[in-house]
Amino acid sequence: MSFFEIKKISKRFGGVKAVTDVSFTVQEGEIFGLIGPNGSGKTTLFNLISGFYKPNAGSIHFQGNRIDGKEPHQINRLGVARTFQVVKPLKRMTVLDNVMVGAFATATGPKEAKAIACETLDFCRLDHRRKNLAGELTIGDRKRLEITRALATKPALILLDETFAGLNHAEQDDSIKLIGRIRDSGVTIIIVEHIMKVIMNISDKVHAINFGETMAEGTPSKVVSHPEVVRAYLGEPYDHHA
Amino acid sequence: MKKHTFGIVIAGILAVAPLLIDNDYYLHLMILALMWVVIGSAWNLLAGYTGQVSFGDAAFFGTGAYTAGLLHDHLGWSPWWGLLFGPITAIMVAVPFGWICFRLRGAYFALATLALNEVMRHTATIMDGFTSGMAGVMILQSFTSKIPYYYIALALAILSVVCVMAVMGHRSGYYFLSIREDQDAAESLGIDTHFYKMISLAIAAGLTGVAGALYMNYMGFIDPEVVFSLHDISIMAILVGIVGGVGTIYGPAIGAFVMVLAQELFRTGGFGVITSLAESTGNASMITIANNMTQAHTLGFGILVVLVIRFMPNGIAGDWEMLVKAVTKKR
Amino acid sequence: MELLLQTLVSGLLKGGVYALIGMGMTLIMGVMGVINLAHGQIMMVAMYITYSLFAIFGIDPYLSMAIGAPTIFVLGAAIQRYLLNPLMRIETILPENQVLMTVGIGMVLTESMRIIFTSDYKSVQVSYSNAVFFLGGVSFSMPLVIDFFLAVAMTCALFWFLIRTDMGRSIRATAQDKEAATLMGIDTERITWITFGIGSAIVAMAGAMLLPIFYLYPDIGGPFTRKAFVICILGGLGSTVGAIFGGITLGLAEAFGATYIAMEFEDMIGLVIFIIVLLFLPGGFKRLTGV
Repeated sequence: MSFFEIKKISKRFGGVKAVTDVSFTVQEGEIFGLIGPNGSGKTTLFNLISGFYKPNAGSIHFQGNRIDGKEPHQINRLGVARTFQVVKPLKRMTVLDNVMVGAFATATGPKEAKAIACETLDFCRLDHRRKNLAGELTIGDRKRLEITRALATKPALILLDETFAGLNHAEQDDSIKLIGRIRDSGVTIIIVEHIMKVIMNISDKVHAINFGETMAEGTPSKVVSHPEVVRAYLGEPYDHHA
Repeated sequence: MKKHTFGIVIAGILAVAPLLIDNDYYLHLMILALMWVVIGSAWNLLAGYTGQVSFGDAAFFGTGAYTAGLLHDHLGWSPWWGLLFGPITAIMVAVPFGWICFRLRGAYFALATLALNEVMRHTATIMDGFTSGMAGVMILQSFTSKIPYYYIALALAILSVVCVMAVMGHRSGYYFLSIREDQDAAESLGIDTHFYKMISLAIAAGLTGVAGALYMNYMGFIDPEVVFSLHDISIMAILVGIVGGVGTIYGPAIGAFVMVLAQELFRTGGFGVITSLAESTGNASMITIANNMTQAHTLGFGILVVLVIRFMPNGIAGDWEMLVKAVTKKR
Repeated sequence: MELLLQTLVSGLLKGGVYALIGMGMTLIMGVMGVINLAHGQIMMVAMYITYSLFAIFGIDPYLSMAIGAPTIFVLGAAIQRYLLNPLMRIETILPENQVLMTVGIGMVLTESMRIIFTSDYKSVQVSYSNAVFFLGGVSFSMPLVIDFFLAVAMTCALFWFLIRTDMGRSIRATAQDKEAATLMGIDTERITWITFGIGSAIVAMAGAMLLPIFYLYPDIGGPFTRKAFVICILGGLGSTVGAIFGGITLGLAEAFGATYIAMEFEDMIGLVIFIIVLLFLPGGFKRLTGV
């Protein structure tokens, strides 16, 4: 039994096929990259995994539980956390309160939730912002808050949706380090990303989709040199030094 | 303890107030204001903190009031039992209602509460075998003095403020706020938003039901037009919540006193000042104003709704906090 | 059988006017995303204008629409421009502030009319008010038949306007995606108040049509606001086609309810429908048809 597995999953919106027959398996402790052009169905896949959409066909399994068809909050409680591509900060709450909302998942009371939240904020290097309102943060800090809040629910698997978009180079480097620390802490990661540098550097395995269908899967270097991926996504062969 | 100083001082002043105010009319207004503290706090928990705006609080208020009255009418129980059973029946109305309506997002809940308000009013009117219909329910008041009612109302007002404060300090409070801020984010963090919205609604309905039962006991008479009134109860509840400050602990308490005063000003034509002016001067236009003023208190009320939302949408306490923040920025 | 047919006919005819009322509201809903809870009250004001024109100058209610509708257009546009639009720029906690504002506006309209016209029942008695003709044993009320055909004509005109004119296209674009419409160079703020004006003018015409049949008093607005939102919920919020179905359904349901259950339930029926729709068809007819 694998840690996380998607079996032949499909999703239609009216007559439009968003995802068709996608299958993949993620091993515990892995960083699993999901790539594809805009509108190829990556975010739809995340919404299917996290329960915001219900699949038309196929199944999703996590640690022996079948999770497709469950509500988003139930899936989170089973240990799958997610971030949103368009960040959703709880704007009129402080950063600390944002993270505490997540921390209540395992905490018995406000005191414990606060302790977990502070610990997670330290871990993500966001503790200096804890008293700010989430609505006041820069885009970089908002992205980071999104991850911190999800981590505070103590997931075994975290889905990161374009965490790097809109960040400057220094922030990108910080985030790469953060993702490394998350993996080292024992959390498995599925990451959707556009920035190839990131995917190439951190993923153990990459899965490429286009028009909602699988194109290729394998190690990062193998996938980016796959002819179909090159044609559909990159336009030209990926240069490792770009 | 320091952050509660404000509340404790106010509660203390209110506790000794009857010793200083030896006037039944003022005591009456204070009792009403205290009752509105309960309703306003309840509305604020649901709307201000959980983001689910109710346009039909009268449905729960009236249910509480009728529970108290009908327990007496049909079973011969003391109407004071209504303080216990009123909230229970109000919650029994609220829970199935919330279960249906909270599945949909957006304006549906607000509209549905409005509809519930009307359904309850019609039901109370039509089922006249059970509720005496338009004739209303009458009971004999327990006390001739206002003092006992005052302290009961004060106790309930303090109870409701403390209740909201306690809820907001704990897990559900954080969850309510997160639902208000972003429902998808809340779901993604493992919060059963449907369930917690119902919890918030149930607490609000319960508190509002208590206020209704208090009203029955204090006024001694209710009918469907009074306790299920859209304007005088449901809209008033919203105004109490907004004027005082949406999403603040003491806001509804401030709003309750301001609004009861404002309502009385409209109803009595400036506490009779305009009427006496009209009488003493005999000025024809003054007399017209005086006559219309008392008649048109709903107009004044409507204008107040428009002005408050247009110019003071965050209320006294809401804008107060903003003011304080502007001064003490960067702690 | 005759009773059934009779009920069907009167429900259908009334439903035509209801559809018009619902379309006015759903148009506003579509563009602003706001339920206008002063809708019935705006109609009530239009009815008083029609009544005054009739009482003072003896102008036929159907003709006075030419005066009433533009006046109400101005009233509606002013409400949107000076009372509702400014709210969008204020940061508040409650998302329903605009809805609340319309409640306040409704109260002001009702009470202003009460001060001017008192609470007495008014009616407009024209020569054809009680005119009836029979068709196969079923009676047709003359004013209701006229209303129905006028409503159909008005609906067609509205659809022509929305589909064929530039202004209509801008309105539909704003309803679909406000931000995109703004980027396309549409002055969406202007569109909002024009739409509110049109929605109000439509319900003003519906009010003028109803005047020969209904008694007029200040509190008539509230029940019609409730009817309008039941129609919109039935049809699906923001769907103009849905509003036609919603209006006719409500007209029929009320007629059948009044005939086969009891007169005093007529007002309740809309609310019961509302709850049934919420339970079994959330999203209304729009969800079935996709329009």
